[in-house]
Amino acid sequence: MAWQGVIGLEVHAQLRTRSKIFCACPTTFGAAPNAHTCPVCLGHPGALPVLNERAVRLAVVAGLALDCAIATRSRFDRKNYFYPDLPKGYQITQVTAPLCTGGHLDVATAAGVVRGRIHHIHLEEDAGKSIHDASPAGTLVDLNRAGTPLIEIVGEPDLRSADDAVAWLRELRAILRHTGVCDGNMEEGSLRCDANVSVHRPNAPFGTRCEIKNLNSFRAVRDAIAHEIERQQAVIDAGGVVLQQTRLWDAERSRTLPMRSKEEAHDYRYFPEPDLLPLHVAPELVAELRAALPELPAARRARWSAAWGVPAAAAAVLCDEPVRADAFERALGAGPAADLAAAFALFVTGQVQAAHQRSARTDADVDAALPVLLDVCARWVQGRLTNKMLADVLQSAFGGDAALGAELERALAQVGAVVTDAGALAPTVDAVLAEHADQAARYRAGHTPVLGFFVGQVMRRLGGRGDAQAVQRLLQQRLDQ
Amino acid sequence: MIPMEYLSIDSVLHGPFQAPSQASTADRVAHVARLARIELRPEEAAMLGHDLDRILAYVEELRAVDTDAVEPMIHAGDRGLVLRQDVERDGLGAAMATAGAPATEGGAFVVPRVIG
Repeated sequence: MAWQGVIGLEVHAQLRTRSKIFCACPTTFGAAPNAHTCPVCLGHPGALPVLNERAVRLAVVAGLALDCAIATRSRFDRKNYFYPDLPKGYQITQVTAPLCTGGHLDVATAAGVVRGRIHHIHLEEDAGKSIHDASPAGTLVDLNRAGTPLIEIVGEPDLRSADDAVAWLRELRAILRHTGVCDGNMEEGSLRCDANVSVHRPNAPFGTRCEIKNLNSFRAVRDAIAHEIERQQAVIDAGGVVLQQTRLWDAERSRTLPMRSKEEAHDYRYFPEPDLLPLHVAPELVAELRAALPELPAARRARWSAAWGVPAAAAAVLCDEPVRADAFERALGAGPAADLAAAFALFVTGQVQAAHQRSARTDADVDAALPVLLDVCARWVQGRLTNKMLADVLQSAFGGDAALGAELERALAQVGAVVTDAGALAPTVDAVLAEHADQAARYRAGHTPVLGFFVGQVMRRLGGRGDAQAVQRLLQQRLDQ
Repeated sequence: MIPMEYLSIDSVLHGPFQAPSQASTADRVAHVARLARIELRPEEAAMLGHDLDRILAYVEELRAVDTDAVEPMIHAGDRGLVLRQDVERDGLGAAMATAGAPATEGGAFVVPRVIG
């Protein structure tokens, strides 16, 4: 029987607060090194941490959105280790009594619904940033990120393939974004993922697991897990044993490398954080936050499907990002025609996304242009724009310098109207038929596929602006005369 | 997830030792000193070992008490944590933050090379 992968993800998500978790320094990304530091996040002796209320609320919201139990009493612990970007010499985290426990996240996959349970979610502070290769003087340390509020979401080993893991992480990100907990930006490190991977034969006990670190894109998550499952299978097939290790994903060479083994594993000497009292979360606050939970992406997709028939794949792409999903709903307005909503979803995730990816335009620019794009889509669906005209409009508008909405209006005006009138089409049709009398004879001799050739010729002369059906009708009429 | 043996006193009692019960006081002191990155002279190690033995003996004494029916106490005070509003304020700034550093570059602390 085949080997099966067993995967559990540990996800660090940066909470969307204005200030750090234990001090008032700003959390803005991209500031000059150490601009956002103070005695608390620099770890100066005597400085005391004061917990950010919003960080607690966001962590509770994450727990509620993932069906966790919220602890009315939790506490903080110190995790002790030495590294230059950890100025206090310990990280404040929650080990023994985390804020949220239990919970689960279901994702739809090709093989059906996969439930990935959640062991717990805890609050903790981020470390600073070490830059190893920028200076000959040594390692540079920037503590702007030190003290940034994080939640760590610890998943149970319930996932069975790299694709399941990516689907689970993608759904988790969509939920964290919809609830405003985290911006989900993996490039800036707002969302980071480690994967625990082992292999086993179905129904046999789990094998020894390796933890893979440094997975900072969906692609890295998929590739690293797939690679690690193969590596462990190969080790076992060759008669070896998998060692419990922490491994680092090397994206450039597509392989995982050992970082440290269990024997060298850090001994963190956890103990309760004496500078912080236990965290009490009032049941009233939990009830308030539960009542205020927004519609989650799964519910939103289901609503789109039921009300508008939006295909699942398009809905999933649009609901990845709540800002985009909101803009989509706003553009459609209160009562959209059901057929147009589905077509618009496919249009936005198809042609528009392709044009967007080839351009340098921002998401916000495209989101703002959705009402005009809806107009473009309607014209195309109704046959007032041909495929060629649509492609021209998108290419011209996305390539322009002004806001996309304005560029689309301009391109629509420029491309003009589709030519459907037989009288307007006749001169071109007749000219083409006259030029290709031999082909016309073939058609009349029964070789009807030649019609396609004629349609193509006419459309080319009309710059793609002819209505294909009208052209075909007129051609047939003339040829059958 | 955190292996339970790394929690609190268990780390000192068991550490990475093959047979925890047979770990000598000297082993335990050396283990903790390594984790804390401190260098101990032999007489210091002996003194700390003496203290550690007494502390561990006291802990053993506490362990003998049956606490099955007792709710674990997180903190001596029952008051909850006081929280602060999420309002940002300028910090010290890079110049003051790094004023006491032996070496800086472009506002960053320079430390001995960690890897590479």
